[in-house]
Amino acid sequence: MQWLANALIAGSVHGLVAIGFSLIYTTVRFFHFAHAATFTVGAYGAYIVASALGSPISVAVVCGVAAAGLVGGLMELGIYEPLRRAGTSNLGLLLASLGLLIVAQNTIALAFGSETKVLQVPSASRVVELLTARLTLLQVTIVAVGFLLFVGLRFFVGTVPAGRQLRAVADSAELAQVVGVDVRRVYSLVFVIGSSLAGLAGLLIGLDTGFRPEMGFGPLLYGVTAAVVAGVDNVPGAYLGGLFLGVVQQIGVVATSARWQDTITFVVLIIFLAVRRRAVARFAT
Amino acid sequence: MVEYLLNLLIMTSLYAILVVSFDLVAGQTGMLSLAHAAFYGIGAYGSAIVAGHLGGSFVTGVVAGAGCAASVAAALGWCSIQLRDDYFAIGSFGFQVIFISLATNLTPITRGPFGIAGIPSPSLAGWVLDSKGEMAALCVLVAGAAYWLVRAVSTSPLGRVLRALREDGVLVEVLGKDSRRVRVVVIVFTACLSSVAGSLYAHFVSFVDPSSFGLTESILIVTMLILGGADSPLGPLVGAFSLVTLPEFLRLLPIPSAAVASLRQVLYGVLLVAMVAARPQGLVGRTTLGR
Repeated sequence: MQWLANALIAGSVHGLVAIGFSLIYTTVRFFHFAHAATFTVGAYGAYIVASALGSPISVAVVCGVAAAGLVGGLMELGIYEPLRRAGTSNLGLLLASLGLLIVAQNTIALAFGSETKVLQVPSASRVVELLTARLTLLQVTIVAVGFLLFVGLRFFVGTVPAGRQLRAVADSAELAQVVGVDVRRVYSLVFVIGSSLAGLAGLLIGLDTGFRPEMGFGPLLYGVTAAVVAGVDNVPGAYLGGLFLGVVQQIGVVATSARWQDTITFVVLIIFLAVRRRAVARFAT
Repeated sequence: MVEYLLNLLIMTSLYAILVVSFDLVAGQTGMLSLAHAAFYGIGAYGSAIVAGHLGGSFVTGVVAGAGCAASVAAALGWCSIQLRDDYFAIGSFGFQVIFISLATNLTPITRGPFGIAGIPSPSLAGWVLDSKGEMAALCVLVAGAAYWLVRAVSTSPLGRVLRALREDGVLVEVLGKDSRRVRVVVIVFTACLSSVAGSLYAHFVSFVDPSSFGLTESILIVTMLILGGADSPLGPLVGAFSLVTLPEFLRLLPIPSAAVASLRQVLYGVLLVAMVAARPQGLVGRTTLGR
């Protein structure tokens, strides 16, 4: 039972990162690697508010998420949109996102130092027992938040007008614009929401295992893998992809050992990349 | 002072090998791999383990590293050559991340985050190259050989096939070339070159640990190529030289050296974004990386 709980916890975090990543990808059609950066911004945002300013954890969480969303929006408005207007290809935007990742991560290292920081939150570390599995309150929160966001997102994308606009832009930005959708606003919104989700995942991970400037790389790999498993176009499904990955990782770790976790993830990624039709190149034009 | 300049010369040579080979796979064949530093790391660890830990010869270490890199590259290559540009980048990103994970976690072999120290100076047929000048000469020679090899491929009919693959893979198949095999060959060849650079690095610094071969390093190699310019004889060299030497001026600033390292990276990132925005073909390139 404990292993299932572990799988759910890890899977929920993967799901959060994956949803944000998919949301952005389906809309703007390039791989925004700087998602790892907004993940880290959210984490450090919460850290600085809680430790330096001594605020309660709930305030820190809100600040972290807001900071991540803000940075994501700025990346879109300040870098991606101007590049897009100048005619940069999607691969070029991917390269730009790599540059942004490096800048963000190292700015954080300059500001906070490269050592791992820890934030003690007594209320979050209290252990509860559910059906013979032992979880901290923080971990229960992670699972609950992930699930709620999944349900909320399905509803949002399906019904609310903003959600429909999002799907329209994802299908065809040009057509959406013709019909009167403000495509640039949708892009910004998508980056803010997606980055907020990444930031939330980041601060939850940071509270659980500490804060380091490179903390985003691994979770980005997990999130991208989860998104690919679900099919990168399937935004709510990315959460389920995250849970699937969480389960596979737990089984793999129990069967072999913890050191193979990343390798197992990578194998899953490669398998699903090979299987997903859309990823296969008709290497072209 | 001379020692310092020789250090710069050695690092420029090593990055020259890395960027020239990266140009072959990314600039000319159009496969943007984010795992170049991982193969650099495989070579470094190969030499560290074989020539350092196990006491083998320098050449054995280089061959072991290159052999390992070639096998891994072949396996990964077969799995991923069907992938479209951005998905190929994702796959290579995944490999890059797990390479670091393996290097950090397979402690019995790699000594984990502590790294492997005490790698001896390289020796060729009994002659030990233990002076900085000799090491520099070796690196420059190897860099020259690597450059010549890559130029030979570029200017050959195979080179034309590679550039055709970058432009239109379907057409290449229509014309009867086995694009899958060609792509795998390029990936394996460039992985071997990176690995040789890694072996030299291991002997130069006499210490390897996972931190030198991560995603950040791969992105640096990409930045060097974009700065210099893809698919050109001089572009990779310009990029490698510029980004090894110019950031040294940062040392003149009155800030602690840990901060210098992070500041350096910030500038690399800014440069990458700036090049994509303003001059994606680089200083002397013939094509845009990421078109």
